[in-house]
Amino acid sequence: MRISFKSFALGESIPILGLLNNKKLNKYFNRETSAGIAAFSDMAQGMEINSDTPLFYSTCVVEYEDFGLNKIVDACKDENGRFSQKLFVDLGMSSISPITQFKILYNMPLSFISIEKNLTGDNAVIYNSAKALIDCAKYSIKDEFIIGAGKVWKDGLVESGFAYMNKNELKYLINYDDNTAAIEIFRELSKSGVYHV
Amino acid sequence: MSKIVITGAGQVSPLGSNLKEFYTNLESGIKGIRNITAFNSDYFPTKFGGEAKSGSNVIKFDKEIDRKAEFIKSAVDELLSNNLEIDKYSPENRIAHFGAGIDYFDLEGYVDSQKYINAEWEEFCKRSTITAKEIAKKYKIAGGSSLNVSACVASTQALGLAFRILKTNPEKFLISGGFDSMLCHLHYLGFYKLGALSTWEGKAEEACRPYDKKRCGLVIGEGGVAYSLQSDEFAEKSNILAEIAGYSSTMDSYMPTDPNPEGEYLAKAGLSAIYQAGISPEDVDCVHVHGTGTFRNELAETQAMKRIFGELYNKIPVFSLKGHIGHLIGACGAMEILAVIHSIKNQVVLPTANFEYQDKEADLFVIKDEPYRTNIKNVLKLNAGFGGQNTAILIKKYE
Repeated sequence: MRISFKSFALGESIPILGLLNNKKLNKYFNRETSAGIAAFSDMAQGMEINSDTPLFYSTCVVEYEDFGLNKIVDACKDENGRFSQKLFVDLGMSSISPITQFKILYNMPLSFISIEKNLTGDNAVIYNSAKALIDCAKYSIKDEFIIGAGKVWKDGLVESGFAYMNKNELKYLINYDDNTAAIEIFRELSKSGVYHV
Repeated sequence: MSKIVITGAGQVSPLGSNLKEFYTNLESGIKGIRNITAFNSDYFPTKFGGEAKSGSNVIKFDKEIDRKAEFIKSAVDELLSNNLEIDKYSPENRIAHFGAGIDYFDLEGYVDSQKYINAEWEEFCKRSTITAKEIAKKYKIAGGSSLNVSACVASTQALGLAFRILKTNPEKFLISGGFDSMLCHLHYLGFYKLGALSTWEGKAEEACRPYDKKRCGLVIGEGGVAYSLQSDEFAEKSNILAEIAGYSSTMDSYMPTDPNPEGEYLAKAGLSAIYQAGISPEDVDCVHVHGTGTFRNELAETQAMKRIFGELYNKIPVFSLKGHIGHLIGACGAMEILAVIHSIKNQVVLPTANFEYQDKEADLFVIKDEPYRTNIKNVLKLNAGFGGQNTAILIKKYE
């Protein structure tokens, strides 16, 4: 098993440019994706990962947003502070970049990691649930796989964890339920120290 | 060896608020795409939408309500009111996996409440995780309930996981499907800004044109669909609608914005699903394609069809439901499987709505004008997601 778990405080730089094969992709990344690239690269350091290795990822409930909602709100409120659809269309949507959509869609961390790391195999993006993420791995068609998760907390802290493991090693994971955020899998694994890269 | 079978369904979509309405309208060639009326779109640069309907009326909710959550609750209610098999399974043996789109955000409510002053936006973001829990609680689903959020393949990946769980756990009862609605201010115009929406200048019902030479972008649809999946050794035989015999998912690893134009990994998924089902490409009787009505999707999908079927690629009849209902994003593949079941049940491939002029670069055998009658035992369902995820499901007539 290979594990990496990383966290970055709000405002803290996530140093990934040196990790990217295509540096132009960086502009599409939100902080969860950047943290994912950092954690995945750390986990995979020195490894040769087959391109058909499955990748299962869980994006956890986002509690902090920096996608431009405040800009849209400022642009679309009228003189009484109420929503104006005309202002929303005329000014609100032009206040943010089309690239923002890549920062909002939940499957983008997995998508960008697959592009950067040349992964083409079995895959899924789960919303939050630790149990469902483990189920994806448990019922995967391959014995070896990569699982990962990302979480942006209310204070802007972003966490990301990845593990390269096999089905036999799933026994080391505790019985998570659907209410537990998948990021907790990697926090627990990293605490154990035994499997940490 | 037991088979994994679909034993029931329920749905809400632009073709109606129950299965009967869906199939009646589908067979009648009714199209569910109009100009948006569920919310005020007066100033929108484009207004096409596949809004969910009850009868011929668009279903309307107050703006603070997450439309897609209501659709899936209704779909599950319909499913389980018609299929009492769930009662034979203990709560621990009941599992639900759905595909869903991104969470609804009530922008209008947020602005009007003035809670933006302190950035208190969370209560205006309606979490689909809550919806999944509500469904689980109502139907005593204690074996797990979760969401896949893999964009346009979310619902087919959810079905794929359900299929895989049942293969090794035939004693389980799986509920799966998908729900989505991007028909709200933020999400709709987000897609507009990406340049993905149809630029059609004619009637709304003609705006989504899968495989047509004049195709010009997708139309966002909405809805919810739920299926029950069982092992056939436990299923009531008279309930069986079709067999899921193969599932595969791949990633293009290409570009965030476009599908791989060579269709290499969509084809790999398709072939894997076919071989899992114990058949060969020449045994596939028709393909229900992703067919979004976008220029690039159809080119890539055509290449994938060439890789899967070789010289037969333009002789196998194909169908896309999106001309009828638009692109349901996180629910699209699962909703389109209703049309697969129709093909198997009625031994027919329906004409793809708005397909008029063949594109030489995307020259599949898209059925036009009249239903195409043929023997159908094996149907391949293809879907491809924004970001490069692909799925293929091989669905068989149950025998």
